[in-house]
Amino acid sequence: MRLEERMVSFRLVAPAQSLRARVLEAVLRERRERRRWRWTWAVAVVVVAVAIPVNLSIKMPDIVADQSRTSLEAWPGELREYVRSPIIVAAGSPRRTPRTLEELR
Amino acid sequence: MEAWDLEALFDAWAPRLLAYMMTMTRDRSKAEDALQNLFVKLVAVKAEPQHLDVYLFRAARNEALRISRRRPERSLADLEVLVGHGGSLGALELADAIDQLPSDQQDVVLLHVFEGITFRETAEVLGIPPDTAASRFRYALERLRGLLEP
Repeated sequence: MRLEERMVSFRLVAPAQSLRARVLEAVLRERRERRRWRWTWAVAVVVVAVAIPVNLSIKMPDIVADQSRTSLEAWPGELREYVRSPIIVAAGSPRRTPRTLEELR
Repeated sequence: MEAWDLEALFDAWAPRLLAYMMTMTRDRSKAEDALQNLFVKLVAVKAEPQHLDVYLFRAARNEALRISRRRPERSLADLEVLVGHGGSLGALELADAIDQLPSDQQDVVLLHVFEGITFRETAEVLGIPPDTAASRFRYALERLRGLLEP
């Protein structure tokens, strides 16, 4: 029998059964991870394609202007007058009307 | 959407791939890691390749080389991956003779003789022209004859 003929009756084999659970567990983990990534990307695409344009298209109210107006209106009349007065009036003293510029000169 | 049945693929191919990876790494634990990495990477492959054996051996070779370059200090006979009977020729004797071949000739012998794939497929796995694979085999055979048929 020639050497080639004798050689082909040999095979390369190593027992791998002990590895089966470990390898297939790693495969399952990878599949789960890939599925999770797919969902993450899907959500990201939805946000970019839908949520952001919709959000930008909604007309935003003028929050700053509204806030300043409401806060001014919320001041009591007494306080408004006090703030406008150039003279600081002590508590309990008779109220004085603000002087005009001519009077001050 | 995974097209492969990796469990069936493992049952059918793992013993051969592990043995081949062991000849590359000369270390069982490294070959086991390489085999696990290979199967994890197969998850990303959508459909079964046309030439499955060529694809798997090429992927196995790349993964084994990535994990560990060949370590010639550990002999092929120590790995006990070569099984069979060739008349008076024993597995240990044959493994020792193959160990004395240059690594490029060993690659061709391991794939063409023991894995039973053609020269063209062997060349594809190794990334060399088919004629080169054939001539490496011829040189390897001459050398083996000298060692095993004095």
